[in-house]
Amino acid sequence: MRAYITRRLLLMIPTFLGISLLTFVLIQLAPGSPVAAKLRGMDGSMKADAATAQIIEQTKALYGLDKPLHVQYARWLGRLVTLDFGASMKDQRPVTTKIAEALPVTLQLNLLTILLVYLISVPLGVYSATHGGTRTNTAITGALFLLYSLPGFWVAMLLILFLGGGEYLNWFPIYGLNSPGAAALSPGGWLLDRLWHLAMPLFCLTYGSFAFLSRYMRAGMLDTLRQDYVRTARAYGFSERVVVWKYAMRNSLIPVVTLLGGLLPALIGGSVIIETIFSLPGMGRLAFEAVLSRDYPLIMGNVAIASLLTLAGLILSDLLYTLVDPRIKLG
Amino acid sequence: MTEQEQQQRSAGYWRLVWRQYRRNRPALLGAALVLFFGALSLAAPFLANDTPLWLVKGGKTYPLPNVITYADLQAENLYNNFDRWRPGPGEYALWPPVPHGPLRQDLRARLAPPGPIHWFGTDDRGRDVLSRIIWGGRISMSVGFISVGIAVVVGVILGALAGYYGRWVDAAVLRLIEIWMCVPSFFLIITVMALLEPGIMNIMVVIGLTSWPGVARLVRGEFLKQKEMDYAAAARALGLGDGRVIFRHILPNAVSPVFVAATFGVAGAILTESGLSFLGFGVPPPTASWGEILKQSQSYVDFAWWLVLFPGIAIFLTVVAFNLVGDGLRDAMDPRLRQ
Repeated sequence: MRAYITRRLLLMIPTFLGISLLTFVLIQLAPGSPVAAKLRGMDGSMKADAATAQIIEQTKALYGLDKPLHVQYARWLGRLVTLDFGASMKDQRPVTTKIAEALPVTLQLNLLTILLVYLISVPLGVYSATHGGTRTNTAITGALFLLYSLPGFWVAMLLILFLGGGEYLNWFPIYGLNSPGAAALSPGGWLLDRLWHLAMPLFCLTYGSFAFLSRYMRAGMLDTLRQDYVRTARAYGFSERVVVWKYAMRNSLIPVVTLLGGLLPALIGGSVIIETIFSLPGMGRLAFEAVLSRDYPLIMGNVAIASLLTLAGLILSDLLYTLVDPRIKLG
Repeated sequence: MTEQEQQQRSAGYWRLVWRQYRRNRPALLGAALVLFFGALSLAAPFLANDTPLWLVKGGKTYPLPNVITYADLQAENLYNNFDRWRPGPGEYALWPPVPHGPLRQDLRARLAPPGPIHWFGTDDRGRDVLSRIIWGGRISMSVGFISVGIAVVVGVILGALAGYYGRWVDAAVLRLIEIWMCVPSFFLIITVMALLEPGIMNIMVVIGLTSWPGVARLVRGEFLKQKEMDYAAAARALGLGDGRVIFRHILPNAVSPVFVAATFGVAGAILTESGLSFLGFGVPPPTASWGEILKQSQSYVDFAWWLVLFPGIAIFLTVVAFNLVGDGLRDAMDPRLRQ
């Protein structure tokens, strides 16, 4: 076990270096970099007015773009290790502070999303494993499949149009995390207000994953139900409910739980589109605004921190699997 | 794999797959929809255009002026102005079913609701929405297919090398996959799109280069399995080179899951492209794309429902179609379900 943990942690190093290289390539696209100038043609999309000239000078100074490549890379590696990404060009606040403010919003939103997705998909998957071939089951599977294909930003627009107080119903707020006066509310009231604000974004983020996850759950359950110990449990005369929900459930959850690792990037990086549409100040919207205003330190800080946190999360989830299922081969 | 199965595979694997696929009605519907949208995109210049398909003017016949540029029509400045041309005696023009170009502005008919002239209404510059949707399909389809093509080429090569050679090659490719998993891909795409010159080629390349890891993982898994099989050992024992064993012997046996993943990938790439255009990082205006119409519609969402509904349905139907085909292929290629 200890050997496995050490090995897994050591494997972080090449991945970290890889991430640093990939983001370093991104720096070469920055305004002021010779590579970017070549890619854009001589003047290209960047107009040479005073403001852009200043941006170019700033990025040059920040990343040392006039230095040789290996010096630039060493400097970038130093920034990654110390998590020092400079100040945002827009408001001169440190990039790390801005990210520290945005990250909790995204984490909150996506933890709720994952919770909801699992709470809904797992029972659906079990149902479809135990009720294969019935008409209800076919209908549910079909409906989930259609949901899976609906573009999230389109659904968000329709929700805003029909439930967000346009010409039609005014049931949900369409932007922000809380109402303006929410700070004065009681804790319970504040929480309700927050959930009320998150309802529509949560819906847009969850519905697409039901089909995928419930399908996995169904496959896992079908596999488990074929095993000997389940037959034994049935032979003992336990009710079908106990067999399925207690005995078979635990083992068939394992493949579904291992999928969590794949959800991590979204958990930390956030959804650019949904956060932007609903004006939620999370990582996704921060990224979008950084890109829109060509705020280079913020762009780089955001990519780097999101990637590093995701890497940490991946390692953590890998280690957790071995706890969930001791049968997982180590090494 | 038994001998008989092996034989079936070589004799008519695809026929077998098709026999199974045919039984799946939703998958057939999906395939029909894919063909329909594909045909619509291919035929866009003949379906939605403000230049006639056939023109008889001044005693001369001009076949297909919509694809062939005639110097004398050009000299009269008729291109782009065909809607103002009125046929004289003996003259006529045969128009496409949707006689509006995707870029043709009609400022007197701005934001017109669907009607007999503009079936799907017009946008804020008076451009015909139906025509823009038909032409936008070309963008969606080409981004879908080409970016997935890029992802498949990169993924197959890396996955095959990793699975076949194992050891440090495998370790390196696995690290590469992990790196790509960590970097938030949509954010990476918008960053690159914002910093590079906007253009459809860049979109295809960037989407393709962010979506290969799934393919690589699939191919790697297949290669790990296949390289242990007798036929692979036999090929090696015959003294064939690694390249030949990998691409001629193992790859054909490992390719089915790639087809399935690629079909789902097209749906995903179409969604990504429409999201990019929706945020303003897609193909540069005035080129029509589905996400771009939706982006416009945000300003008029309270009354111009046709700007929200029709492009949304176009995206939805295309994505459903590709997903249905992918689902059908997966079931048809699964030997456990075969009867």
